[in-house]
Amino acid sequence: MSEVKDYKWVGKRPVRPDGIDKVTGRANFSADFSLPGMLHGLILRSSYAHARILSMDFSKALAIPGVKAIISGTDMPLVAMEDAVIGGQPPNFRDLSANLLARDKVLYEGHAIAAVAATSLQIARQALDAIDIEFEVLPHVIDVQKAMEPDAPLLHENQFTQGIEPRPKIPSNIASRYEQVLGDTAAGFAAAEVTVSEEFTTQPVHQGYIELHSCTAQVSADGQAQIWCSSQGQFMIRAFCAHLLGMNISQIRVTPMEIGGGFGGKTTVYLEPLALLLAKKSGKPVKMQMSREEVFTSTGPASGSFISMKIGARKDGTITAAEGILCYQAGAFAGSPVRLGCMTAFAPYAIQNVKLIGYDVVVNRPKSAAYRAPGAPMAAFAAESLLDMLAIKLNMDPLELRLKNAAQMGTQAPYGPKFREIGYIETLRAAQQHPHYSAPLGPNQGRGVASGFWFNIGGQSSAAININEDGTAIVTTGNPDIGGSRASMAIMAAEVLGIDFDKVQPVIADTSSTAYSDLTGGSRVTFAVGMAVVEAARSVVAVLKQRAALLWEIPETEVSWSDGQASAVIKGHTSILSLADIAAQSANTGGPIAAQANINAQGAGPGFGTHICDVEVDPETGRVTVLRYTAIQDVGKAIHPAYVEGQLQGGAVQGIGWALNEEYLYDESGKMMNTGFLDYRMPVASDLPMIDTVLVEVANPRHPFGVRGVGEVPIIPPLGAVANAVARATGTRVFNLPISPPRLLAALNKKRGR
Amino acid sequence: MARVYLSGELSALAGIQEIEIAANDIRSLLRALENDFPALKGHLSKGLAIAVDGEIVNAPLLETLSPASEVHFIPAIEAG
Repeated sequence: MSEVKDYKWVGKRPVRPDGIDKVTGRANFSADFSLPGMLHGLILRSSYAHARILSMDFSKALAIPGVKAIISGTDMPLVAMEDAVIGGQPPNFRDLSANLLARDKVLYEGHAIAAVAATSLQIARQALDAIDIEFEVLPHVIDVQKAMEPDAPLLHENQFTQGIEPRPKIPSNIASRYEQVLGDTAAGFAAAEVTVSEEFTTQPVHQGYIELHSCTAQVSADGQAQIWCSSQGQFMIRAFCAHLLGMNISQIRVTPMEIGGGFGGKTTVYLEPLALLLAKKSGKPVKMQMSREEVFTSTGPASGSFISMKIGARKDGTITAAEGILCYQAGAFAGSPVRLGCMTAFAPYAIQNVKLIGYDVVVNRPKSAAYRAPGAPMAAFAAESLLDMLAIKLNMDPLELRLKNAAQMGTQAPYGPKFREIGYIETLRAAQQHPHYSAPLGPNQGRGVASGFWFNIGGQSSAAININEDGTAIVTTGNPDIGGSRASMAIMAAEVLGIDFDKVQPVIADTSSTAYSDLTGGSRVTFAVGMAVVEAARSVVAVLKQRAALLWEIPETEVSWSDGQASAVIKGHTSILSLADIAAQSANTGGPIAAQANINAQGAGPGFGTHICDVEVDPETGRVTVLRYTAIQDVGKAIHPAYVEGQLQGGAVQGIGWALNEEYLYDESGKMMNTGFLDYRMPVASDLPMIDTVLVEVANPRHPFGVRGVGEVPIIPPLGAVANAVARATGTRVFNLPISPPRLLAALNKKRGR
Repeated sequence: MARVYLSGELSALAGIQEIEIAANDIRSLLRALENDFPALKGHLSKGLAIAVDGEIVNAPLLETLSPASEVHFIPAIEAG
């Protein structure tokens, strides 16, 4: 249960354990790793958006001196249909295999066709140029609505829409239909006195991590393999490679390198199985690294979407019904997060009647991948825009409208279950009370608000704590640190052990050196792995008390522990042994002092956030400048507040980019035209003001310190908050993201009759 | 008797939206559901998560249920 007390370390802001290495350039990322005699791997990628592979000829490429191995789709074991999905959970390994190396067809520009390993990058490039492939170019489809039309170019001849009875007999780009119903929307709309409805579109956006995908693989003669790479889960890399290549998990050891951003995009594999295959085939270590262009054309963005949505309300603001159709682009293979869009769209609100239908649609784009709060931002953009339109129609304050309908403990979420302890209302009240909300606005300026919800998750987690003979501690976990988890783990361990933060060294171990842990994602690590750390630390304290009892020759029950030391009243006098004292005597009391915790963490408390955004619009150019931005979120308990604030700031900035600038631009042949950060415009520091944050702490009673996950929620509200601010600044609402200057100027000119 | 809520495809397969089932844990609840509604066989874990009394439970087979428990089958949550 949650411990309400003043903590010595929890809630403080010590210097991050990884900080100095990162700012001095000493941290080792994937691309920094090398092995003697290693080869360089490159990938031949499709220049067509959709084409059938008629033939491949590697003979000229293989004849080039220095070319050591070439692989194509036929080198990948065919994943049996019954092995495609493990335990009913994504990914589909047949699709993943076909995404790694195309088999019969290429399904998007950038789709990998073959991979080469050579003694230098130059020779590898020559080899790629020397590969002969004959294609039959096929018509392609990029747009989600066009892909749903009956006569659209078909990506998969064997894909029949799931979720429809009877099963369709004609294949379709619609991979599945999902329906989520709560209550009776017909009755809800009949009770409504006002309705608002609209159609919205959002574009696919990339996670935009700075670090390019990279890995090095080595396979020894006895088949034992090693991989060095950055990812969001070394155990995920190990399991995916084993399953895709038909290897035993014990044959693969994955060492996590420092990661330069993931945001969900590194929860899958792109290079690792190919590097393994090339290393096996060549007998040499192989290093592979993508270019930025490859990252854009070939790795997963978040899904684009088309959403039609409607809400109805009484004149007092009570929302009586909501309904909508959500169509998400999955990319070339099924599996967009449209269901999560349906589940999250109206989750902040107590609405009795909600019906949402989701369609998962394949198009000739790279397979979508997870991006912070997968599926939620686009759905929330539509829902939060409608709420703002409703507030304007009812002449209500937009925060008051949200408060009137806010979900609280006991509210039934639109996806079924009733919420336990949540802090959405607290975020709305904090927004109302924040000076930002009452600050004056000037000409061409507007203020928007929006909210967001994410489930947060727990999952399998492990932690080991070893006490060194000098009284310092090593905390070993198996999760890459993408958001400050090393600092959080060290803080929680220090708090429970009662020693100083700088005496705790957090370590992220390879897959052969620590117990399994689910990947870093879903805002789970500080919550779930933190629970394992706390459990291990409590076990260590129990051992320390036992050792002190042995030294004092008293029963263990007479020993208490606080502030990093054991104490007992012996013959009327209080005796004390510090953790370091006990550690120094470990040999005399039974050997090394250590503990391990392996758990399946349950009880992740949902997260809610509310954002306030001020913009100024240049009426002559359509340029939107964000003047002020405040992100407010229920974080349960901030273990390291600076890191939590950083999560809120980073999510807000990525969401602002989604709202204002980011999109994939394709030419008529289906080729992406903006494959670099100069043309794919993500916000940089000079574009935005300092993002202000407010950490609301409604403790999650299921975590020892009250933690909720925080990384997903902050990317959800910005799309709506920015769009609502622009609408209030101009009186013109843009329903299609991004609200780029040309798009907004066109809307303004239309209103002006130009 | 735990109250079980089915929606979407599961509801269509079983022909019901909610039902009361006597079960002490999720494992026995799944057995009972598959026994009473054979059409659900193979569908109760396919891309799904289970929420017990408002809390989404990871790998819930051994999760205990009280007589007043509410069990919802919902889509699996992806990690970002």
